Amino acid sequence: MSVQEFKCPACAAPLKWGSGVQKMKCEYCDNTYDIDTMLEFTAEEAEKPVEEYSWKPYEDIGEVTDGIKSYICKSCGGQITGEETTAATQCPYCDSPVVLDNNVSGMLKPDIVIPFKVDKEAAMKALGNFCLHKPLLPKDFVSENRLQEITGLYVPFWLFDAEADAKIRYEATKTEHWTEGDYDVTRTNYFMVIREGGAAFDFVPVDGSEKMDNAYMEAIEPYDMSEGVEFNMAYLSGFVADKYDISSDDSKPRANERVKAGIEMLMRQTVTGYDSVVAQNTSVKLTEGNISYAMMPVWILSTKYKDKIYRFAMNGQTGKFVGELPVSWGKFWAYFFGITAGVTLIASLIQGFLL
Amino acid sequence: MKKIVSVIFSVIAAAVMCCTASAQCSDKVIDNAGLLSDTEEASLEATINGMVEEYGVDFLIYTTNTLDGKDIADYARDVYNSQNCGVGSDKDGAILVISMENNKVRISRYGWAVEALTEYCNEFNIEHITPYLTDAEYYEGCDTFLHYCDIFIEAAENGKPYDDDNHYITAEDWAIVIGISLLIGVIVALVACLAMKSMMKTAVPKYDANDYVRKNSFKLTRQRDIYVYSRTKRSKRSDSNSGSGGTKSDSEGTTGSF
Repeated sequence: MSVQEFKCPACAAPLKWGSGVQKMKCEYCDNTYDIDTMLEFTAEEAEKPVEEYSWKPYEDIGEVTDGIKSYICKSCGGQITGEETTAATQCPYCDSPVVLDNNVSGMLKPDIVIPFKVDKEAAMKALGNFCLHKPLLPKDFVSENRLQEITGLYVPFWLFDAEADAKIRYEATKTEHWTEGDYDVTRTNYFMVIREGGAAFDFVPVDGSEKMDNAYMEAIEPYDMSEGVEFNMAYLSGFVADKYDISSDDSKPRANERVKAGIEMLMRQTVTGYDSVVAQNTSVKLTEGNISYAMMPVWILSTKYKDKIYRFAMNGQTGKFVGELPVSWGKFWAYFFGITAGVTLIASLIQGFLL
Repeated sequence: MKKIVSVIFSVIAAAVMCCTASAQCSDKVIDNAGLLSDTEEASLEATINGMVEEYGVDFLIYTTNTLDGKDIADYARDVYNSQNCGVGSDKDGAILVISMENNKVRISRYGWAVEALTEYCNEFNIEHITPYLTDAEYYEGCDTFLHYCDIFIEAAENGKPYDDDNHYITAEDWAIVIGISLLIGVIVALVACLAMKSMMKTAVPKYDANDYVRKNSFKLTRQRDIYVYSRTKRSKRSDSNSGSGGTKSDSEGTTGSF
């Protein structure tokens, strides 16, 4: 009969049966443990983390070939598609001119489209509002920046649906303080916390265009998928569409990452009442994984200031606006030294008063 | 006849003045423990003489290798009296005793010096002397004692003695205050400026997919919170009964250790 050895959770020394206390006892740190607690603890500690992501392969619903024109940018290789009556002249990625690409016959038909809800004027107004209340913006940016291009672009996205199940084991602590005569006593209680559960994720988006900065596309989320519709050429009128160049398979790792982070956060929110919580073992399983192909509306704006191009993106459905503005380092340091001086003076006066 | 009478009266008057005027210790520094060189003793004596002349308050610095079985407070009082120290009928003055027997230091004061050198002043002085005594810098310790007595007595003469409601702030204290304030200022400024800078770039990737969780789909199937073990730490509290920084005060003065 094999003998199971138990190690002390506090100091890893071997545990022996303490006949006096009728519990497992550590002779080094004097901690004692119920046999049931030790059995459960040892079993949980022995479990290895598992990650399983199961996605059904994407099956497309055909191509759109009639009534469209394709353009290619000779500078960056970007490919965009427009409705026959819409002329595209500039690449939304690098602002270089685009030319008609007669080699491309069609575009992959999306499962869902979210039509543009916010117009061009709103996009331009949003840029103006974005520049407000920015203390570090160079003062001449607003007057001197030149709007180079504003393009309404349908960006290709892969949408991932899945049921996510997770089991996470945490080490958590609670600390107590009290005084005993001339001594300050601190006792830290250690807990093993286990959470098992699951959640369903619908339409987790991963942008399918290598040329679209993922940070921009994720920053303008979320999209309201309840307003998604079946594709119709009418939605493309006046806009252009980007062609996907990142496959659904190549998009899976990002989807896995976001779903895993999501379920971990949901689980973590259920561990409350502790002074510290650290995840020690995480197992995640994704099932019923479905992938669909969508086109999402984005306004892309680029503006030139002091010979540098600054890009912005606006969610064409919700109007959420993101971008990067230049920082005036002169203003940065002026604020830094000004605030330092002010706070130093106030703190000195307060401390001097208290002295 | 008149001349003889006036001479007699002058002699009597001089004798009376001598008896009632400052008794004062003849030696201002008595270094029985051999902690000070001759030069250092002379320097301290000169400083004390200057202070006696300026403030009319006597001082005695006394070092010893033994307290003869007495408590240091009693020893200090006995020495002060036996050396006939103090100015005026109230024996205004103070004594600093450094005992090498048990590494104790004592400041006792008498007469008007009780008002000028308050308990706050004595504790302050002891706290600033003891680091020097610990490092065997006895001259520096004694000089520091006289330095602060000078400051405290001058403040008392100006009607604002230093005490718990009126702290003496050293240049070192101000340096620490400004240092801490500057550190706080830099941290606050850095946080504020970095926050303003972060407003300039809003295109940041998402960490998770929680905008896409199906409503009411999250369910916990198992929750276990198992108490495993405890760790206990005990640390001795600093002695709060003996005043700040290990000093003990009574009505006559303050004792410290080094």
